[in-house]
Amino acid sequence: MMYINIHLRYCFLLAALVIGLATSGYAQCLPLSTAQSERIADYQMELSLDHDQKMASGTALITWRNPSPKAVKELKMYMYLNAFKNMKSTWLRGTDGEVFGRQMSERAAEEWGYVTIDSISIKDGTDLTGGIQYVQVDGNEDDETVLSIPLPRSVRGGDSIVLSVDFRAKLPKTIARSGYGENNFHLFVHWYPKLGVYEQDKEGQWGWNCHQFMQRTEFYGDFGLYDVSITCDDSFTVGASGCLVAESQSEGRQTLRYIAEDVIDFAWCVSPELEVYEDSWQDIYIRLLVPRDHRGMAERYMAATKNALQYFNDHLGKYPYPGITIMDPPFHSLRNGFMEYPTFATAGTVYGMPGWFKGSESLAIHEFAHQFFMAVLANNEKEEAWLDEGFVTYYEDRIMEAYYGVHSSQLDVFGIRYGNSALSRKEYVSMRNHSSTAIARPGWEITGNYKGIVYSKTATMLKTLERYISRNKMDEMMRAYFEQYKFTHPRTETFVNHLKTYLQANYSASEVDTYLGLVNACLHGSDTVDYYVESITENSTTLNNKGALRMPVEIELISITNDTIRQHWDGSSPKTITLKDEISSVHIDPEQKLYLDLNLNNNSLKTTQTSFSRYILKSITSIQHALQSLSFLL
Amino acid sequence: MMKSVLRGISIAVSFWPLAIIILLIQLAFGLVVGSQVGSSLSEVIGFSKAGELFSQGFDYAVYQDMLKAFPDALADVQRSIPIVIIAYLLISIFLHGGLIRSIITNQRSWSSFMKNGLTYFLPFLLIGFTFLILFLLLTAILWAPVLINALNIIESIASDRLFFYLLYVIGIIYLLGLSLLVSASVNSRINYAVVNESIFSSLKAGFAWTLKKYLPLTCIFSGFSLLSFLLLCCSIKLDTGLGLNVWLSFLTTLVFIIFRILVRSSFYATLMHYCEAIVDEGDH
Ligand SMILES: [Zn+2]
Repeated sequence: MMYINIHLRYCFLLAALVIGLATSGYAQCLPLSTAQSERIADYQMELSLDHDQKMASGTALITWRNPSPKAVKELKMYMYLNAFKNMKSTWLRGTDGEVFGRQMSERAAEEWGYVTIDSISIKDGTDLTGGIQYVQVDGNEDDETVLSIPLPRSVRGGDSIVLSVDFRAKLPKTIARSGYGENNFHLFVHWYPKLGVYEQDKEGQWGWNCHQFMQRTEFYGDFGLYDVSITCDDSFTVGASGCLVAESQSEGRQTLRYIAEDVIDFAWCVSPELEVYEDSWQDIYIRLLVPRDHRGMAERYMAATKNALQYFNDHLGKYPYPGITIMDPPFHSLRNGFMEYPTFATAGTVYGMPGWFKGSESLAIHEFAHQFFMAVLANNEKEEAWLDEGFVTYYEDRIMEAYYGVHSSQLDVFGIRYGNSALSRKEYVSMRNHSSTAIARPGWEITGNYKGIVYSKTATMLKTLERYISRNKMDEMMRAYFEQYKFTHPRTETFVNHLKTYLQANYSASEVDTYLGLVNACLHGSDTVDYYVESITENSTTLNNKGALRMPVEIELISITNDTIRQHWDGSSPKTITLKDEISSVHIDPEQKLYLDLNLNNNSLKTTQTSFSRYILKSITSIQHALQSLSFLL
Repeated sequence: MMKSVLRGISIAVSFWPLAIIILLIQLAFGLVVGSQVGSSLSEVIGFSKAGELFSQGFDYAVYQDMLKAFPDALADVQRSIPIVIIAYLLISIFLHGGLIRSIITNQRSWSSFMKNGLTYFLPFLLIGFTFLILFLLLTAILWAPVLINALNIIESIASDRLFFYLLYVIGIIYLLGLSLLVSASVNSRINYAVVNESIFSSLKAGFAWTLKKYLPLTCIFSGFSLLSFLLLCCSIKLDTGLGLNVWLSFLTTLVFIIFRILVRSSFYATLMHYCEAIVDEGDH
């Protein structure tokens, strides 16, 4: 790992660019020579940042290719920064006016943000400005996050159109993610006029998929090439999607040009507080932007990123981009953190984060893992967030446990410890109400515990599937899924069909039904499973299920003569098993394959009672220590 | 001051049976909570294999599933803890009465200890209660503004290091305040045990003496507090870090607790010697 003081770099700039590229010890971020995706929407932008006004303005040349056989007479664009224009946006109406503990209605006029188009024309000069208007595809007539651009003539199937757009993006004081904070910290995300996705719906009809910005929905965009030049004060550290390919300075300003290929979005940040740490994993360039006060975390972030790269390489696929930037926002701008953008992710921590708590690593790995899902398997997160967040949580848990310990990957202090999978499972099984937990639904249809359903139930379902079919098979299936569908927009059916095909090639028909049944039940239903041992009466035992979902499991019975008997149970309940000898203990699913089981404690019953001397003794001494500490004050 | 500290320690050590009594009283209170923990766990997961796993070491999934299935599993324990604390603090006041007066008068008999404890219980309780209110006031005055404005401070402060420094500064001021209150509290009781006048005059005298000798008294308080804190840390480290057998770990922890009791007795005896409530024989 190498540390560079960005403020001292002027004299080394040319040398670094010319000589450094060839001689440095780590890989450089170099654009790729071939396209990996079908590039539908390319953006060439030149922007200037006025940091006093918190505004970036400039021109975007947007090239859109019609991927359909149909002529298209209207374009639709996301204007997502307008979600933070006032209290009337669908995004803010989706809250109770309070975001991260702040009442939004109390903010000053200059603290709101917006994106506005000053002029828009086709490359041939035809002005479209007069015809554009905000449309409300998801209701709420006050929302201005989707723009319709009627075209004077159609774009035929396979043809392209080039638009020239003059626009201004004024950042809000951060409400969530996009925005500015103290000391000229700026994060530009969901910030520019961006095309929706022209695609076939489930019925095969072509049309724009371009939803309003809602609190729980995030990305859906087409792949393209982004060529973005940013001009800003030269004292700022800049971080962005893609690779930095050119930079120049003039009169206290710097212009940085970034190329991001085969990405669905582009994000960038500036701040005078961020320090740059560079390193690489194989030929992937890693750039960390960390505020001075979080220097102690740089090494931990770097290790976490490399661990994630290595793990994905071993178990899913190779990271397909030449570089990755991870930005840890300063503490005052923590609400800008914890989010993913193509080849650019934001983390978050606090000064002096103790080593026994790995929350920052876990979140950094989570946001990085999105590169493989949100960015590459670029599904519609608004309609099917689980394909991103659920898989990301599953892999986050796996990576954390592989490198930081199965039982201690999140926390390990004073004998209290927990790992990621246990935490994900807890978030699902501890939900107060499981009556509406179908995973594969649009974000706006999921009420209640969104994270518990989309992130945790999915991760726990995938963990269960993995335990049934084995990790090797799971990896084989997921590798094939990633390879086949990278740089496309897979849907729920895409994954389920892929899984079905894989299972059919590897398992019996009944096993295929079982495993696919489990996945479909979780995706589309709310059935739960809670196996329990109802009773042991001498030589017989009764097993039951409190839920309606069932999976076959093993039963381990130990007789009073200490014989171990294994039986298979298809889950149909109640089930009574009778042995020759008296039964001493019964354990349903002793390997805990069925991780979705709402209560694992009642999966076993024994005739002898465990004593908890460890906890009795610890309670005694803890009370004594506490009394002693308190009495010191008396 | 150092002379008083050394003398305080030797007095506390010479009163070692008292440390054992305090340990046993604490042990009895601990046992109340411990047995409740044991019976609660036995009741809800005692017949499960998960309980077996949990008995070998903390398991988050077992713990969470237990709380989900039995949300009130530890309710008895939670109810007992405040009662145990209040009861112990009351007994503690009684013990202080016995301890302070017995040290001052160099009485070593059990009966005089009990008699002194009973005699001084009510006045010491009132003094303790007064300082409890002052202690709560100090806590509220110093910490409430930070907690109420935490979000504003975080979002407007240039760096989280500064935020933590702010917390450290408040923490130090808080400790200095605590030092004042704890020393004044002990000195007020010593004064009461020596002069036997009104509680109010003892409070006044306790504060006056503490303010007059604030620096050395703070050093004494800090030294003994730090020592007690270090013993606590070592005890936790040994308990969780060495993988000792549970009984061995328990016995080791008891040894640390005795040391912590002796540290507190030493603090009291040091203050008594320092304010000349007790006089060394050679000083006559
Ligand atoms: Zn995520």
